[in-house]
Amino acid sequence: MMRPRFILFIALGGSLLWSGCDQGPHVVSRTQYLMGTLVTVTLVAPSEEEAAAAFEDAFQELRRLDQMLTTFDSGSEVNRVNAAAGKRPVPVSPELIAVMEEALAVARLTEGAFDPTVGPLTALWGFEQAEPAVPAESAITAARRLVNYRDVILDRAKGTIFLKRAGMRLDLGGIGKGYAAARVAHLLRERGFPGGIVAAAGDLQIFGRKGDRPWRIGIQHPRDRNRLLGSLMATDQAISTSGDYERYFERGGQRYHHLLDPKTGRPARDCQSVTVVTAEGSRADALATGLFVLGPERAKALLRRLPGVEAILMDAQGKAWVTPGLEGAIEGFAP
Amino acid sequence: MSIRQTLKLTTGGDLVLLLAMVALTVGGLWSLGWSSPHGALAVIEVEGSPREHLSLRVDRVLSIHTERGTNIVEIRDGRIRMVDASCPNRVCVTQGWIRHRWEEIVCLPHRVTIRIRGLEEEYDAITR
Repeated sequence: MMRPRFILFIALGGSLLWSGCDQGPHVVSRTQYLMGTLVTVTLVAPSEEEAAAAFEDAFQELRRLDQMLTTFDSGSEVNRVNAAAGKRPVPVSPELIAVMEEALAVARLTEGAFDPTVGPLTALWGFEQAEPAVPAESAITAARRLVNYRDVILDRAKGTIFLKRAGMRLDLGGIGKGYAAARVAHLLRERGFPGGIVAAAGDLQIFGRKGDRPWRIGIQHPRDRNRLLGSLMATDQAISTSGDYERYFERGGQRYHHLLDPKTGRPARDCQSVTVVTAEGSRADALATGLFVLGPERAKALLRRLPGVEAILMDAQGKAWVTPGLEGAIEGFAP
Repeated sequence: MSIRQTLKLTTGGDLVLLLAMVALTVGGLWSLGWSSPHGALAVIEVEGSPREHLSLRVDRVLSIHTERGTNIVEIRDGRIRMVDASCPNRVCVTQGWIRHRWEEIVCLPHRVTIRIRGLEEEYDAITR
Protein backbone atom coordinates (compact mmCIF):
# COMPACT_ATOMS: atom_id res chain seq x y z
CA MET A 1 0.00 0.00 0.00
CA MET A 2 1.22 3.48 -0.83
CA ARG A 3 1.96 5.42 2.32
CA PRO A 4 -0.46 8.26 3.03
CA ARG A 5 2.26 10.88 3.37
CA PHE A 6 3.30 10.14 -0.21
CA ILE A 7 -0.29 10.50 -1.34
CA LEU A 8 -0.44 13.87 0.40
CA PHE A 9 2.89 14.86 -1.16
CA ILE A 10 1.80 13.85 -4.66
CA ALA A 11 -1.56 15.59 -4.26
CA LEU A 12 0.14 18.81 -3.14
CA GLY A 13 2.75 18.71 -5.86
CA GLY A 14 0.14 17.94 -8.46
CA SER A 15 -2.11 20.79 -7.38
CA LEU A 16 0.79 23.24 -7.46
CA LEU A 17 1.81 22.02 -10.92
CA TRP A 18 -1.79 22.33 -12.07
CA SER A 19 -2.08 25.88 -10.79
CA GLY A 20 1.19 26.71 -12.54
CA CYS A 21 -0.06 25.39 -15.87
CA ASP A 22 -3.53 26.83 -15.67
CA GLN A 23 -2.63 30.23 -17.12
CA GLY A 24 -5.90 30.69 -19.00
CA PRO A 25 -6.06 31.28 -22.74
CA HIS A 26 -2.95 32.21 -24.69
CA VAL A 27 -3.41 35.92 -25.44
CA VAL A 28 -0.97 37.90 -27.57
CA SER A 29 -0.89 41.56 -28.67
CA ARG A 30 0.96 43.67 -31.22
CA THR A 31 0.93 47.46 -31.64
CA GLN A 32 1.80 49.63 -34.63
CA TYR A 33 1.44 53.30 -35.51
CA LEU A 34 -1.11 53.41 -38.30
CA MET A 35 -3.94 55.72 -39.39
CA GLY A 36 -2.30 58.51 -37.40
CA THR A 37 -2.66 56.65 -34.12
CA LEU A 38 -1.75 53.53 -32.15
CA VAL A 39 -3.42 50.37 -33.34
CA THR A 40 -3.25 47.30 -31.09
CA VAL A 41 -4.40 43.87 -32.21
CA THR A 42 -5.02 41.32 -29.43
CA LEU A 43 -5.70 37.66 -30.19
CA VAL A 44 -6.48 34.42 -28.44
CA ALA A 45 -4.16 32.15 -30.39
CA PRO A 46 -3.02 28.53 -30.12
CA SER A 47 0.60 29.47 -30.78
CA GLU A 48 2.93 32.45 -31.28
CA GLU A 49 3.59 31.38 -34.88
CA GLU A 50 -0.07 31.40 -35.88
CA ALA A 51 -0.57 34.73 -34.15
CA ALA A 52 2.51 36.24 -35.85
CA ALA A 53 1.19 35.40 -39.33
CA ALA A 54 -2.22 36.80 -38.44
CA PHE A 55 -0.72 40.02 -37.04
CA GLU A 56 1.19 40.52 -40.27
CA ASP A 57 -1.99 40.17 -42.32
CA ALA A 58 -3.97 42.37 -39.92
CA PHE A 59 -1.50 45.25 -40.12
CA GLN A 60 -1.21 44.81 -43.89
CA GLU A 61 -4.98 45.18 -44.14
CA LEU A 62 -4.89 48.26 -41.90
CA ARG A 63 -2.25 49.84 -44.14
CA ARG A 64 -4.42 49.15 -47.19
CA LEU A 65 -7.43 50.78 -45.54
CA ASP A 66 -5.33 53.74 -44.40
CA GLN A 67 -4.17 54.28 -47.98
CA MET A 68 -7.78 54.27 -49.13
CA LEU A 69 -9.23 56.52 -46.42
CA THR A 70 -6.46 58.95 -45.50
CA THR A 71 -6.50 62.65 -46.39
CA PHE A 72 -2.74 62.91 -45.76
CA ASP A 73 -1.81 61.22 -49.06
CA SER A 74 -2.82 62.96 -52.29
CA GLY A 75 -3.06 59.59 -54.06
CA SER A 76 -5.64 58.08 -51.66
CA GLU A 77 -9.09 57.25 -53.02
CA VAL A 78 -10.66 59.82 -50.71
CA ASN A 79 -8.31 62.55 -51.90
CA ARG A 80 -8.97 61.71 -55.54
CA VAL A 81 -12.65 62.38 -54.82
CA ASN A 82 -11.67 65.62 -53.04
CA ALA A 83 -9.49 66.77 -55.94
CA ALA A 84 -12.46 66.46 -58.32
CA ALA A 85 -14.91 68.36 -56.07
CA GLY A 86 -17.20 70.56 -58.16
CA LYS A 87 -15.80 69.04 -61.37
CA ARG A 88 -16.78 65.43 -61.90
CA PRO A 89 -17.81 62.13 -60.28
CA VAL A 90 -14.86 59.88 -59.43
CA PRO A 91 -14.95 56.07 -59.82
CA VAL A 92 -14.04 54.44 -56.51
CA SER A 93 -13.90 50.93 -55.01
CA PRO A 94 -17.14 49.27 -53.86
CA GLU A 95 -15.61 49.30 -50.39
CA LEU A 96 -15.34 53.10 -50.29
CA ILE A 97 -18.93 53.32 -51.56
CA ALA A 98 -19.99 51.10 -48.65
CA VAL A 99 -18.07 53.20 -46.09
CA MET A 100 -19.60 56.38 -47.54
CA GLU A 101 -23.10 54.89 -47.43
CA GLU A 102 -22.65 54.20 -43.72
CA ALA A 103 -21.17 57.67 -43.18
CA LEU A 104 -24.13 59.31 -44.91
CA ALA A 105 -26.59 57.14 -42.97
CA VAL A 106 -25.12 58.38 -39.66
CA ALA A 107 -25.02 61.95 -41.02
CA ARG A 108 -28.77 61.71 -41.69
CA LEU A 109 -29.45 60.15 -38.27
CA THR A 110 -27.54 62.89 -36.48
CA GLU A 111 -28.83 65.64 -38.79
CA GLY A 112 -25.30 66.52 -39.83
CA ALA A 113 -23.71 66.53 -36.37
CA PHE A 114 -21.53 63.80 -37.81
CA ASP A 115 -20.68 64.89 -41.36
CA PRO A 116 -18.15 63.15 -43.65
CA THR A 117 -17.71 66.42 -45.58
CA VAL A 118 -16.23 68.19 -42.53
CA GLY A 119 -12.85 68.21 -44.37
CA PRO A 120 -12.61 72.00 -45.04
CA LEU A 121 -13.01 72.64 -41.29
CA THR A 122 -10.55 69.98 -40.10
CA ALA A 123 -8.02 71.18 -42.68
CA LEU A 124 -8.50 74.77 -41.50
CA TRP A 125 -8.05 73.98 -37.80
CA GLY A 126 -5.09 71.70 -38.55
CA PHE A 127 -5.08 69.63 -35.37
CA GLU A 128 -2.46 67.41 -36.99
CA GLN A 129 -0.16 70.35 -37.69
CA ALA A 130 2.94 71.09 -35.62
CA GLU A 131 1.52 74.40 -34.37
CA PRO A 132 -2.23 74.58 -34.72
CA ALA A 133 -3.91 77.97 -34.25
CA VAL A 134 -7.44 79.29 -33.85
CA PRO A 135 -8.55 80.31 -37.37
CA ALA A 136 -10.05 83.71 -38.18
CA GLU A 137 -13.85 83.89 -37.92
CA SER A 138 -14.15 84.72 -41.64
CA ALA A 139 -12.13 81.63 -42.54
CA ILE A 140 -14.32 79.46 -40.27
CA THR A 141 -17.47 80.84 -41.93
CA ALA A 142 -16.09 80.19 -45.41
CA ALA A 143 -15.07 76.61 -44.54
CA ARG A 144 -18.36 75.93 -42.75
CA ARG A 145 -20.31 76.78 -45.92
CA LEU A 146 -18.49 74.00 -47.77
CA VAL A 147 -19.64 71.36 -45.28
CA ASN A 148 -22.88 69.58 -46.18
CA TYR A 149 -23.34 65.83 -46.53
CA ARG A 150 -26.39 66.41 -48.73
CA ASP A 151 -24.03 67.64 -51.46
CA VAL A 152 -22.42 64.22 -51.80
CA ILE A 153 -23.75 62.36 -54.85
CA LEU A 154 -23.18 58.67 -54.41
CA ASP A 155 -23.95 56.55 -57.49
CA ARG A 156 -23.85 52.92 -56.47
CA ALA A 157 -24.65 51.60 -59.98
CA LYS A 158 -21.80 53.52 -61.58
CA GLY A 159 -19.56 53.19 -58.51
CA THR A 160 -18.81 56.91 -58.31
CA ILE A 161 -18.72 59.65 -55.68
CA PHE A 162 -19.21 63.30 -56.60
CA LEU A 163 -18.82 66.31 -54.34
CA LYS A 164 -21.10 68.92 -55.85
CA ARG A 165 -19.18 72.09 -54.95
CA ALA A 166 -15.56 73.05 -55.54
CA GLY A 167 -13.62 73.20 -52.28
CA MET A 168 -15.62 70.44 -50.59
CA ARG A 169 -13.48 67.78 -48.87
CA LEU A 170 -14.32 64.38 -47.47
CA ASP A 171 -12.71 63.61 -44.11
CA LEU A 172 -13.47 60.10 -42.89
CA GLY A 173 -11.48 60.52 -39.67
CA GLY A 174 -14.73 60.11 -37.70
CA ILE A 175 -15.56 56.69 -39.16
CA GLY A 176 -12.42 55.25 -40.75
CA LYS A 177 -10.81 53.81 -37.61
CA GLY A 178 -14.03 52.13 -36.52
CA TYR A 179 -14.50 50.70 -39.99
CA ALA A 180 -10.91 49.46 -40.14
CA ALA A 181 -11.16 47.85 -36.69
CA ALA A 182 -14.35 46.03 -37.70
CA ARG A 183 -12.90 44.91 -41.01
CA VAL A 184 -9.74 43.47 -39.44
CA ALA A 185 -11.69 41.80 -36.63
CA HIS A 186 -13.87 40.15 -39.29
CA LEU A 187 -10.77 38.83 -41.11
CA LEU A 188 -9.29 37.42 -37.91
CA ARG A 189 -12.51 35.71 -36.98
CA GLU A 190 -12.70 34.20 -40.47
CA ARG A 191 -9.22 32.78 -39.96
CA GLY A 192 -10.62 30.81 -37.04
CA PHE A 193 -9.34 32.75 -34.03
CA PRO A 194 -11.81 32.29 -31.17
CA GLY A 195 -11.47 35.83 -29.83
CA GLY A 196 -9.70 39.10 -30.17
CA ILE A 197 -9.78 42.89 -30.03
CA VAL A 198 -8.76 45.35 -32.72
CA ALA A 199 -8.20 48.71 -31.04
CA ALA A 200 -7.55 51.75 -33.23
CA ALA A 201 -6.98 54.30 -30.44
CA GLY A 202 -10.41 54.55 -28.73
CA ASP A 203 -12.25 52.58 -31.41
CA LEU A 204 -12.51 48.91 -30.48
CA GLN A 205 -13.99 45.98 -32.33
CA ILE A 206 -14.27 42.99 -30.05
CA PHE A 207 -15.00 39.45 -31.20
CA GLY A 208 -15.43 36.16 -29.42
CA ARG A 209 -14.25 35.63 -25.86
CA LYS A 210 -11.07 35.53 -23.83
CA GLY A 211 -11.19 31.82 -23.15
CA ASP A 212 -14.19 31.18 -20.93
CA ARG A 213 -15.02 34.80 -20.17
CA PRO A 214 -15.88 37.99 -22.05
CA TRP A 215 -13.26 40.70 -22.58
CA ARG A 216 -12.99 43.39 -19.92
CA ILE A 217 -12.94 46.88 -21.44
CA GLY A 218 -12.01 49.95 -19.38
CA ILE A 219 -13.51 53.35 -20.22
CA GLN A 220 -11.25 56.38 -19.76
CA HIS A 221 -12.50 59.09 -17.40
CA PRO A 222 -12.65 62.32 -19.45
CA ARG A 223 -11.31 64.61 -16.73
CA ASP A 224 -9.01 62.40 -14.68
CA ARG A 225 -6.32 60.67 -16.70
CA ASN A 226 -5.52 58.39 -13.78
CA ARG A 227 -9.06 57.09 -13.43
CA LEU A 228 -11.51 54.96 -15.33
CA LEU A 229 -15.19 55.77 -15.67
CA GLY A 230 -15.78 52.06 -15.18
CA SER A 231 -15.53 48.90 -17.22
CA LEU A 232 -17.71 46.73 -19.42
CA MET A 233 -17.65 43.04 -20.21
CA ALA A 234 -17.92 42.62 -23.98
CA THR A 235 -17.97 39.81 -26.52
CA ASP A 236 -19.12 40.59 -30.06
CA GLN A 237 -19.39 44.36 -29.92
CA ALA A 238 -17.82 47.57 -31.07
CA ILE A 239 -17.01 50.23 -28.48
CA SER A 240 -15.96 53.74 -29.48
CA THR A 241 -15.30 56.82 -27.40
CA SER A 242 -15.15 60.43 -28.54
CA GLY A 243 -13.68 62.79 -25.97
CA ASP A 244 -12.47 66.36 -25.85
CA TYR A 245 -9.23 65.27 -24.13
CA GLU A 246 -7.53 63.22 -26.84
CA ARG A 247 -6.52 65.69 -29.56
CA TYR A 248 -6.46 69.30 -28.63
CA PHE A 249 -4.37 72.41 -28.25
CA GLU A 250 -4.60 75.30 -25.81
CA ARG A 251 -4.50 79.01 -26.64
CA GLY A 252 -5.25 81.83 -24.22
CA GLY A 253 -6.33 79.42 -21.50
CA GLN A 254 -8.97 77.85 -23.76
CA ARG A 255 -8.91 74.23 -24.92
CA TYR A 256 -9.64 73.61 -28.59
CA HIS A 257 -10.31 69.94 -29.33
CA HIS A 258 -10.72 68.11 -32.62
CA LEU A 259 -14.47 67.28 -32.47
CA LEU A 260 -15.79 70.12 -34.59
CA ASP A 261 -19.45 71.04 -34.84
CA PRO A 262 -20.17 71.46 -38.58
CA LYS A 263 -22.90 73.99 -37.71
CA THR A 264 -20.57 76.41 -35.84
CA GLY A 265 -17.24 75.40 -37.33
CA ARG A 266 -15.82 75.24 -33.79
CA PRO A 267 -15.17 72.51 -31.21
CA ALA A 268 -18.45 71.18 -29.80
CA ARG A 269 -18.79 72.24 -26.16
CA ASP A 270 -21.70 70.36 -24.63
CA CYS A 271 -20.03 67.01 -23.82
CA GLN A 272 -16.80 65.81 -22.26
CA SER A 273 -17.06 62.31 -23.69
CA VAL A 274 -19.44 59.89 -25.39
CA THR A 275 -18.93 56.12 -25.46
CA VAL A 276 -21.04 54.07 -27.87
CA VAL A 277 -21.56 50.30 -27.71
CA THR A 278 -23.10 48.62 -30.76
CA ALA A 279 -22.45 45.76 -33.18
CA GLU A 280 -20.39 47.43 -35.93
CA GLY A 281 -17.24 49.50 -35.55
CA SER A 282 -18.01 52.06 -38.24
CA ARG A 283 -21.38 52.88 -36.71
CA ALA A 284 -19.96 53.04 -33.17
CA ASP A 285 -17.19 55.40 -34.32
CA ALA A 286 -19.39 57.75 -36.36
CA LEU A 287 -22.18 57.79 -33.77
CA ALA A 288 -19.75 58.60 -30.93
CA THR A 289 -18.65 61.68 -32.88
CA GLY A 290 -22.20 62.61 -33.89
CA LEU A 291 -23.68 62.21 -30.40
CA PHE A 292 -20.81 64.20 -28.89
CA VAL A 293 -21.49 67.08 -31.29
CA LEU A 294 -25.28 66.87 -30.79
CA GLY A 295 -24.87 67.47 -27.07
CA PRO A 296 -26.53 65.50 -24.26
CA GLU A 297 -30.19 66.42 -24.76
CA ARG A 298 -30.42 65.80 -28.49
CA ALA A 299 -28.15 62.75 -28.14
CA LYS A 300 -30.49 61.22 -25.53
CA ALA A 301 -33.50 61.84 -27.77
CA LEU A 302 -31.76 60.12 -30.70
CA LEU A 303 -30.57 57.18 -28.56
CA ARG A 304 -34.11 56.54 -27.35
CA ARG A 305 -35.15 55.72 -30.91
CA LEU A 306 -32.03 53.78 -31.96
CA PRO A 307 -32.35 50.06 -31.22
CA GLY A 308 -29.16 48.11 -30.55
CA VAL A 309 -27.13 51.17 -29.56
CA GLU A 310 -26.04 51.76 -25.98
CA ALA A 311 -24.12 54.78 -24.79
CA ILE A 312 -22.52 56.61 -21.88
CA LEU A 313 -22.66 60.41 -22.08
CA MET A 314 -20.66 62.79 -19.91
CA ASP A 315 -21.97 66.30 -20.28
CA ALA A 316 -19.96 69.50 -20.00
CA GLN A 317 -20.57 69.64 -16.23
CA GLY A 318 -19.32 66.06 -15.80
CA LYS A 319 -22.77 64.61 -15.22
CA ALA A 320 -23.14 61.07 -16.54
CA TRP A 321 -26.07 59.49 -18.29
CA VAL A 322 -26.31 55.91 -19.55
CA THR A 323 -28.82 54.20 -21.81
CA PRO A 324 -31.16 51.77 -19.98
CA GLY A 325 -29.42 48.77 -21.59
CA LEU A 326 -26.14 49.66 -19.83
CA GLU A 327 -27.60 50.43 -16.42
CA GLY A 328 -25.98 48.09 -13.93
CA ALA A 329 -23.63 46.72 -16.60
CA ILE A 330 -20.77 49.13 -15.93
CA GLU A 331 -18.47 47.75 -13.25
CA GLY A 332 -17.04 50.27 -10.80
CA PHE A 333 -19.00 53.08 -12.42
CA ALA A 334 -17.54 56.29 -10.97
CA PRO A 335 -18.34 59.36 -13.05
CA MET B 1 -9.17 6.57 3.47
CA SER B 2 -10.92 9.40 5.24
CA ILE B 3 -9.54 12.91 5.66
CA ARG B 4 -9.29 12.27 9.40
CA GLN B 5 -7.07 9.24 8.81
CA THR B 6 -4.92 11.20 6.37
CA LEU B 7 -4.48 14.00 8.86
CA LYS B 8 -3.55 11.52 11.58
CA LEU B 9 -0.82 10.11 9.36
CA THR B 10 0.48 13.56 8.30
CA THR B 11 3.88 14.12 9.88
CA GLY B 12 5.63 17.30 10.89
CA GLY B 13 7.76 16.93 7.75
CA ASP B 14 4.68 17.02 5.56
CA LEU B 15 3.57 20.24 7.25
CA VAL B 16 7.00 21.82 6.80
CA LEU B 17 6.91 20.85 3.14
CA LEU B 18 3.40 22.28 2.75
CA LEU B 19 4.34 25.57 4.43
CA ALA B 20 7.51 25.84 2.33
CA MET B 21 5.53 25.37 -0.89
CA VAL B 22 2.91 27.94 0.11
CA ALA B 23 5.65 30.42 1.11
CA LEU B 24 7.46 29.91 -2.20
CA THR B 25 4.28 30.42 -4.20
CA VAL B 26 3.23 33.58 -2.34
CA GLY B 27 6.78 34.94 -2.44
CA GLY B 28 7.06 34.31 -6.16
CA LEU B 29 3.78 36.05 -6.90
CA TRP B 30 4.77 38.95 -4.63
CA SER B 31 8.03 39.48 -6.46
CA LEU B 32 6.22 39.41 -9.80
CA GLY B 33 4.07 42.33 -8.80
CA TRP B 34 0.83 40.86 -7.51
CA SER B 35 1.40 42.61 -4.22
CA SER B 36 0.76 46.01 -5.71
CA PRO B 37 -2.51 47.36 -7.05
CA HIS B 38 -0.32 49.30 -9.45
CA GLY B 39 1.93 47.99 -12.18
CA ALA B 40 5.44 47.12 -11.15
CA LEU B 41 6.96 47.69 -14.56
CA ALA B 42 6.92 50.39 -17.20
CA VAL B 43 7.52 49.44 -20.81
CA ILE B 44 8.69 52.14 -23.18
CA GLU B 45 7.85 51.33 -26.78
CA VAL B 46 9.13 53.03 -29.90
CA GLU B 47 7.11 52.39 -33.09
CA GLY B 48 5.23 49.68 -31.19
CA SER B 49 8.38 47.71 -30.25
CA PRO B 50 9.64 47.56 -26.65
CA ARG B 51 12.78 49.67 -26.12
CA GLU B 52 13.07 49.70 -22.30
CA HIS B 53 11.62 47.69 -19.42
CA LEU B 54 11.91 49.76 -16.25
CA SER B 55 11.03 48.92 -12.67
CA LEU B 56 8.83 51.57 -11.08
CA ARG B 57 10.62 50.87 -7.79
CA VAL B 58 13.84 52.50 -8.98
CA ASP B 59 13.72 56.30 -9.29
CA ARG B 60 15.53 57.55 -12.39
CA VAL B 61 15.49 59.92 -15.34
CA LEU B 62 16.39 58.75 -18.82
CA SER B 63 16.31 60.00 -22.41
CA ILE B 64 14.65 58.13 -25.22
CA HIS B 65 16.20 59.09 -28.54
CA THR B 66 14.32 58.22 -31.73
CA GLU B 67 14.76 59.32 -35.32
CA ARG B 68 11.83 61.71 -34.75
CA GLY B 69 13.15 63.39 -31.60
CA THR B 70 13.91 62.99 -27.91
CA ASN B 71 11.67 62.26 -24.93
CA ILE B 72 12.79 62.54 -21.31
CA VAL B 73 11.16 60.04 -18.96
CA GLU B 74 11.16 60.25 -15.16
CA ILE B 75 10.33 57.55 -12.60
CA ARG B 76 9.70 58.66 -9.02
CA ASP B 77 7.75 57.14 -6.09
CA GLY B 78 6.37 54.29 -8.19
CA ARG B 79 5.07 56.56 -10.94
CA ILE B 80 6.31 57.51 -14.37
CA ARG B 81 5.88 60.58 -16.57
CA MET B 82 7.17 62.24 -19.68
CA VAL B 83 9.05 65.14 -18.16
CA ASP B 84 10.08 66.74 -21.44
CA ALA B 85 9.84 66.11 -25.17
CA SER B 86 11.05 67.82 -28.31
CA CYS B 87 7.71 67.10 -30.03
CA PRO B 88 5.63 70.07 -31.20
CA ASN B 89 2.45 69.65 -29.15
CA ARG B 90 3.88 68.18 -25.89
CA VAL B 91 0.54 66.51 -25.13
CA CYS B 92 2.57 63.64 -23.65
CA VAL B 93 4.21 66.02 -21.13
CA THR B 94 0.93 67.63 -20.05
CA GLN B 95 -0.48 64.18 -19.29
CA GLY B 96 1.55 63.99 -16.07
CA TRP B 97 2.19 60.89 -13.96
CA ILE B 98 0.78 57.42 -14.54
CA ARG B 99 0.98 54.36 -12.29
CA HIS B 100 -1.98 52.06 -12.99
CA ARG B 101 -1.65 49.04 -15.21
CA TRP B 102 -4.17 50.28 -17.77
CA GLU B 103 -2.68 53.74 -18.15
CA GLU B 104 -0.46 54.82 -21.01
CA ILE B 105 1.28 57.94 -22.23
CA VAL B 106 1.49 58.34 -26.00
CA CYS B 107 3.74 60.76 -27.84
CA LEU B 108 2.17 60.43 -31.29
CA PRO B 109 4.65 62.73 -33.08
CA HIS B 110 7.62 60.64 -31.88
CA ARG B 111 5.73 57.33 -31.81
CA VAL B 112 6.83 56.71 -28.22
CA THR B 113 4.50 54.97 -25.77
CA ILE B 114 4.84 54.35 -22.05
CA ARG B 115 2.71 51.49 -20.74
CA ILE B 116 2.45 50.04 -17.27
CA ARG B 117 2.57 46.29 -16.98
CA GLY B 118 1.82 43.81 -14.22
CA LEU B 119 1.68 40.05 -14.10
CA GLU B 120 -1.96 39.97 -15.09
CA GLU B 121 -3.71 42.74 -16.93
CA GLU B 122 -6.86 44.04 -15.26
CA TYR B 123 -8.33 45.25 -18.54
CA ASP B 124 -8.04 43.78 -22.03
CA ALA B 125 -8.40 47.16 -23.74
CA ILE B 126 -9.26 50.76 -22.90
CA THR B 127 -11.58 52.95 -24.94
CA ARG B 128 -10.36 56.53 -24.75
